[in-house]
Amino acid sequence: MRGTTFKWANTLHQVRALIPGCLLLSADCSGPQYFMAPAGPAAQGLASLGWFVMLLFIAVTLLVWGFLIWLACRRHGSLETHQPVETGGGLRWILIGGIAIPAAVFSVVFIAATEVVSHFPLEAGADSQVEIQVSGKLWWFKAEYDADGDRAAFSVATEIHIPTDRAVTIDLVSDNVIHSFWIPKLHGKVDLVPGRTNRIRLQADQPGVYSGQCAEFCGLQHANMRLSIVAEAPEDYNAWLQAQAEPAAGSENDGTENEETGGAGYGSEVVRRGAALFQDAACPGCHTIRGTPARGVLAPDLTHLASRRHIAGGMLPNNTANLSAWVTRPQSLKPGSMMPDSDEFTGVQLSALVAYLQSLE
Amino acid sequence: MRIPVPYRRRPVSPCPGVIDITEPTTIDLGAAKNRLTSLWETPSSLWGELATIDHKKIGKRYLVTAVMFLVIGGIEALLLRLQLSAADLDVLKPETYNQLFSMHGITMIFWYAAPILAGFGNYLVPLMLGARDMALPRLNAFSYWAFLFSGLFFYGGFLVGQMPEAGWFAYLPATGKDFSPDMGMEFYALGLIFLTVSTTAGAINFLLTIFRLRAPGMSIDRMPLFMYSTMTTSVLVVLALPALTAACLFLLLDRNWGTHFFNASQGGSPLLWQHVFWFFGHPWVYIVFLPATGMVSTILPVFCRRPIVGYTYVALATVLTGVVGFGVWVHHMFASGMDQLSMSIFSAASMTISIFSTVQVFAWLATLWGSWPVINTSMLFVLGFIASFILGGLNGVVTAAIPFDWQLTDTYFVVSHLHYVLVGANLFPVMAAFYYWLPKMTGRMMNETAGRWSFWTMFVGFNVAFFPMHLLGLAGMPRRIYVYSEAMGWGTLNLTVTIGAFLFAAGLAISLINFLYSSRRGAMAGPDPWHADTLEWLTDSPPAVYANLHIPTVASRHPLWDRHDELDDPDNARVLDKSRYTLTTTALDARPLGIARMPRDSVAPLVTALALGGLCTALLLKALWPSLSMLLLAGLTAAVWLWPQPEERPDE
Ligand SMILES: [Cu+2]
Repeated sequence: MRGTTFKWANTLHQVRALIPGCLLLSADCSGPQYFMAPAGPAAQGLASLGWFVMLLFIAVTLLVWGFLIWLACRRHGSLETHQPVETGGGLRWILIGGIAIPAAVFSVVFIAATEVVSHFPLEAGADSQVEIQVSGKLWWFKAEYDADGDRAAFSVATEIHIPTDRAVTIDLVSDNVIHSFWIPKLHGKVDLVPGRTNRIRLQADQPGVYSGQCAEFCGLQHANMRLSIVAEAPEDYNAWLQAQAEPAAGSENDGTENEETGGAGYGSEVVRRGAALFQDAACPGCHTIRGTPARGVLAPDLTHLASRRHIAGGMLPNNTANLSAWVTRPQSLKPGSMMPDSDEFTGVQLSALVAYLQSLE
Repeated sequence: MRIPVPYRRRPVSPCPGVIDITEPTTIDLGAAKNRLTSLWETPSSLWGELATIDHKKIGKRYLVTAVMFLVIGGIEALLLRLQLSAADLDVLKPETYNQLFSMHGITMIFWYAAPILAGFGNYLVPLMLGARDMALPRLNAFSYWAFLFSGLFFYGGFLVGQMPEAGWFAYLPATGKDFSPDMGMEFYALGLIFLTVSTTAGAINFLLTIFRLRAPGMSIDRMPLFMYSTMTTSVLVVLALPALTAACLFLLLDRNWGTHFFNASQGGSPLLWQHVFWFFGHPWVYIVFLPATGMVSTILPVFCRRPIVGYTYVALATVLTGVVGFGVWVHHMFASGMDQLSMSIFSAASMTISIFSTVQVFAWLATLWGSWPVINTSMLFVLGFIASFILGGLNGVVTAAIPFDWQLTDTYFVVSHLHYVLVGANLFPVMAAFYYWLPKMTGRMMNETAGRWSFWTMFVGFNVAFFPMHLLGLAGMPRRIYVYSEAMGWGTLNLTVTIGAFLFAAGLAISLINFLYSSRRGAMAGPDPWHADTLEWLTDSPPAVYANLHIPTVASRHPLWDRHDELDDPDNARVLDKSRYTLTTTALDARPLGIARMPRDSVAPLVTALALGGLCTALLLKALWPSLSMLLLAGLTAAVWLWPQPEERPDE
């Protein structure tokens, strides 16, 4: 018994292209969060179950609709000519159509659902090791990677890297409101609930960037609380881990760079001025750049900011224009976010600051 | 016009002559009519209108007020749709958007969906039972006033710019003081507590009316199915609503008086809110949909010209929906990290409860099957309801398949599901009910052409608006987002949804205008325009203030279709024109029990409701002495309200 239902669901998944119902859905098959075209085994299991249940129910709905329309159109009476009569009969419709068939159909769905849960539980067994802890902030996701051997612990914002071809276990916590962690193409949602540690196990089959967003309403900027998972081949992933664990490029601790630039620590004069501006402004109060005095913990760690694709909780692509706009006018881009507007920089200072931020690779 | 319906069941004779009345019976029926009129009539003055306890007036007020809230909630929805009609729009500010979607949900669910059914119940239950009023008419007036004032109180927050911003189910901690520091949640919590007082009072009244005021002979197996759904709903209200009251009270305490029910860092739990809220919230879904199915089970057989197939199955399915409805609340929380065994149990319960709905659907289909249906506007809305309910029920079962629900929950798929259920299974039956019963209430027929235009516009608009939401859900669009980026590819579908929403609103507007126009200008309806079977059609249209001159008796499930004459009363024993009398009967087989004297009109219910409104306002402002004095005022008026009254006699 075990497994058969699921295989059947898988077969259905294979043949779904033949079903005209999919023509309706094809409009969205390309969307980055279209979870019926999954990219990992967990989401694949859910999507197969979804196809199975939805196609089954589309068929049932069409059947009953057809019957209803036929009943409504077949013949008509009028209040004048048709007196109320008990024509009798019809009870069999209730017993068969209303009780027996739904009971059978729902049992099949229930068994199929239970099968899929047992194949892709949210939590792994005791053997799985938590590698990443994700916490929900207002309004961005913070991912913390533990230290491993001589690699230091570090944290990143919004973009979570994982290796391909093996399952990764992630702990989910929140110290503010409830959020929900959701990468549609990889797995379903799991909430981040204050006072609890929930867990999700993900696997991506192919390298790629899988986008997602917070799925539980969490306040003003819930809509702009995005995240993505960057799946990389294991060797690329390990290289990424090493790079992220390093202190910031050009900082005092970063010996190699220092030699080249005569000990000043930075690639250029502009960047050096930008670094000084960063440390003198309010920035270090909230942001950390490892290797510099900036040790704030409220906001994203900027140590390797330039290596990220997006800023502002996944809302804006990471480029010069967006960085400048974000540094000066976050409240008009993302009203209510913790980052205050700033008028303290002149145009020249701003471009120095942005140049510095872009040097943090 | 009495056409015999051949029943397999035994014919039951009515029960004449068992009523023990000490007063001599009136012979002159004309004089009796005048006396009854002067006894039950509401004086046409402002004071009379404020003091009236006539269930027909109160029912109509409920309907009008609930439709007002429907219009307000609808306008809010249209504004939301404008903001979402394309990517990256800037029509609404994020806080406005969040307030509007919260207000839309709360208004529709609490101040439209249940009250509109309470309105029909208020108007119809006594008439369908052959009674002269609800069992507790003053409590009934109080229910209405409290409903109105709670709505005004809640919208008072709108006027001063203090609105809830975190949705109708208001998850903690986002609604705690730390994250929602302004007063919006106080308006929410106090307004809802106030509303639960009204709704609970109304439910108790329905139960008492159904179990005590049925016409002699209307045994429990002869009640119209609408009574079964009203009864089940009322039991649900009485049992489920305290959870909402408790949840709101805890929320107020947490926010204002330093308790930590929901505060994880102090040993509380944010999930406690979800459990308590959904323990109320899921039965509430049945509260807003069961009476609607009851109305359909009443209307559909009339236009099919035959009794409903499987009366017992439908009645049992209704009651069982209510019972099992208490065991499914966790299916709103499948993503919150529960263990798998309890998730499976709640998933199985959710699927079980669907079977009770399929029983009802197939009872309707089977009734259609052996009939020559009369297709008019009312019937079209019934058919539209069945169609959307089939889809809305089945896509609900899709979300009950747990692992797939991890994907679907909190997406537009769920938005689609809940609108197919709530619009499909509440608004469409309500429209059918308006077209069916407004001729009774106003004495005039609604315009049929406008009705058909309205139905098709609404039905097409409804599907254009809500069907694409399934696809948006599958495409990964979460609910409650005020903006989305072009890259997501959701733009076209969202534009379609917005167009559908406006079409739907236009269809609704056609009907509302039709109601206003036809209730003044429509063709005269006569007492029984549909040749229907239930007792309300025995009265004039609109009904006399005392309903029927003789309290009717009943001999079958379809009183107006059988050979028995409901008003046959040779001794005039059931005229009861000596005071505000109505007949009470036993709970199961409706044998006459005695005569109940109904209270006189009074403004005490209005003043009590006003005092409770004052109490809410004082609590909102945390003013101790005004709160205490309002509480005292409410207590005093309640005492006046309950003070024994001398018998009222019209002068002879
Ligand atoms: Cu969030």
